[in-house]
Amino acid sequence: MAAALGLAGCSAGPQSNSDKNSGTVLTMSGWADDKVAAALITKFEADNPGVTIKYTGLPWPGINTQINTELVSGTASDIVVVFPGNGGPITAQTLAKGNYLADMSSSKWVSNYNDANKAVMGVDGKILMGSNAFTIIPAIYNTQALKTVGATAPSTFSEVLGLCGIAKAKGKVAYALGGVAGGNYPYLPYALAASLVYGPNPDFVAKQAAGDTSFSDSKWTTVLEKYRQMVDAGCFTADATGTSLDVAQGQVAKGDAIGMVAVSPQIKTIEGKAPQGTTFETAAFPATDNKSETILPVGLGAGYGVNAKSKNIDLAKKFVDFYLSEAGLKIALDKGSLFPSAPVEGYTPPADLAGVAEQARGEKTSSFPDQTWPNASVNQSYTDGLQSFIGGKSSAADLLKQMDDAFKG
Amino acid sequence: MALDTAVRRNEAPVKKRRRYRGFAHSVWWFVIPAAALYVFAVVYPSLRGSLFAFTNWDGISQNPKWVGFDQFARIWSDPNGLTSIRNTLLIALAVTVIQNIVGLLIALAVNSRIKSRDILRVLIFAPVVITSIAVGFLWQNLYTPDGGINETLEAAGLGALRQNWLGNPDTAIWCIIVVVFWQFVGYSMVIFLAGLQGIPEEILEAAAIDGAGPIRRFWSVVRPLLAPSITINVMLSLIGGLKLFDQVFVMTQGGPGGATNTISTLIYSNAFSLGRFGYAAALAVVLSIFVAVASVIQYRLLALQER
Repeated sequence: MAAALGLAGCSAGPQSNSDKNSGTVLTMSGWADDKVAAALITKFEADNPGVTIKYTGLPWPGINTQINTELVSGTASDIVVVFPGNGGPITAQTLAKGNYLADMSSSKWVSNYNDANKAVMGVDGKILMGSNAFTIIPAIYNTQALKTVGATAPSTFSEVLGLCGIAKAKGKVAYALGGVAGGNYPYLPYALAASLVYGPNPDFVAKQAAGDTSFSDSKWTTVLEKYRQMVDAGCFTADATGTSLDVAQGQVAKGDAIGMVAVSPQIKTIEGKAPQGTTFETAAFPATDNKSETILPVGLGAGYGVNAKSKNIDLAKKFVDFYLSEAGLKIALDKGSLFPSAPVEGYTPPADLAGVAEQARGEKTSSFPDQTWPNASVNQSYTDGLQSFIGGKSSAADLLKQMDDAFKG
Repeated sequence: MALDTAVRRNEAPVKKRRRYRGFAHSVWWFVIPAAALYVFAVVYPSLRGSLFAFTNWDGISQNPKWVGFDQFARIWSDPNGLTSIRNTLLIALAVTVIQNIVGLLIALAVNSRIKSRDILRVLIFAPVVITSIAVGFLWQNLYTPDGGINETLEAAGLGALRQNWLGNPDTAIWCIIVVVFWQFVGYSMVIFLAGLQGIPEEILEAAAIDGAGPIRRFWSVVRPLLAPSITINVMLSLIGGLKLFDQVFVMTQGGPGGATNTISTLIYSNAFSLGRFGYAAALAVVLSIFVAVASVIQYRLLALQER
């Protein structure tokens, strides 16, 4: 029975042609049902006769614990999913503590990333992972719902509050909010903090790490004040703390909510829930009444790293090089919708990202705050505390103090 | 000859002595393979895992540092730690009391000669066979603000009773207790039913003839004879309640704002999300002690009752 369960536990993922080749076998642990990975593997095997990639697809959130446990026990695949930043079981900086990932600093694709990206891709100057896509946190609007209420995507914070009033008057919700664990509720403060904290103060992260500033002493207080303003103005889903992400997405898809602030990969999910003919548009979420001050949060998505104990390190690195090459990016764009981390000839952003694509490539962007936090406790304090804050059970000062205490370790 | 017979009659019967065959021929040899597997798969990992409770291991670094009882002390200074202990004890006690009382009442009802009692037994027991993960998702859906429960209340004209069931820290923990009760009350019912069916009818008839009413018959005749069933049920529901994880993780992940964290969910989040393996191990040791103490106390109290 245990053997049957063990076999059943091997997720269905891209099948390799291992029956035909008896040469080098590379192992890879990635996402379950990942069509992009399947296409990349097929092409890589075709270009490298004698090489077979044995792929294991893992679902979220089990992928965290599985890859983490395998790396610690020395049984991990040659190529593994790695997240940028710190504070998670398989983030680059967490895994760096045990030297579990191979250094890829000399790879050609490293120059495609700016300094802010490189800072979260490794530690002490080493590059430990690469990602083929950026994740953006825009406001995602149902275009038809906007037209129904006679509004356009807000470009100032006053317009945001105005949209909330208009939507409420028409019996709709301005911004769908999933306040249950795993929901989109942490993203709006990130969008506000990009314009109020990290954009205007590019050295905020360094100062915080040095102990010269803190969440409580910064404009994070303004971030949470504005969030509270929106809660009190009825901008969000009623009973948001009991609403799941799935329900919130459904509200936007059907037009019961005008929009939501979420990560860009969720646009496809929302589109999948929407009636035929529904279109969506994105815009940077404003934090002030000065449009030029709006900064867009853009962060690296999850990518791949190479197991430092792999017996085929060079071949594994070769795959990652291919994954991040222009050819690999084109395959990924063909199979999935993403915002590539490097320029791709002929790439046109999908219509639903047109509102933020240009800004995402420019200077008015800022990394995700959680990718710069020193440990996972900060994120835990933030997400737990924000739920209490939204529900009116705690104050902004309490939340920021908890985050500061967690930041100190 | 008569004297010989008399002597033989007065002599104690001679016991047949068993030949001592030595350990080599002892039945304990048959236990060794299973015992070895048990030590390898359960005892050794448990002891080794417990040692991490005295270190600051983050689950990743190569060289954990010995910190003595610091991780245990942390439990009492960590607001999440105290909340999780409180929630764990609340769930365990509430589930034990409510599930066993209602389970017994249902068992008494379906043990009577009502029509459709067989169907009722099956329907009440059915949730037991559903996996806890599936139960969690099912009830999470029902509890959402626009879910089945609130919609039913609206339809029945009780819209004023609508709640943000899982989003309100005050109601979320009780929602979880209801789910656990719903899933396992059939389990208690079945055990009580087996106990009830083992009580001889003649004893009950005799009590009735002596003038004992239904309540008196239950309290003075049925309840004492049900003591073994009560022992088993209370022990199982107490232990199950103390180590509850699946339903909490699926429905709330310990939220909102940590309000429904139990020791089990805190162990999981500290070990696998926060990189505090040593602290998680300390929590696990504390939970094991809770379970062991609760089991021993409850077993001894009920053993007294059985006598």
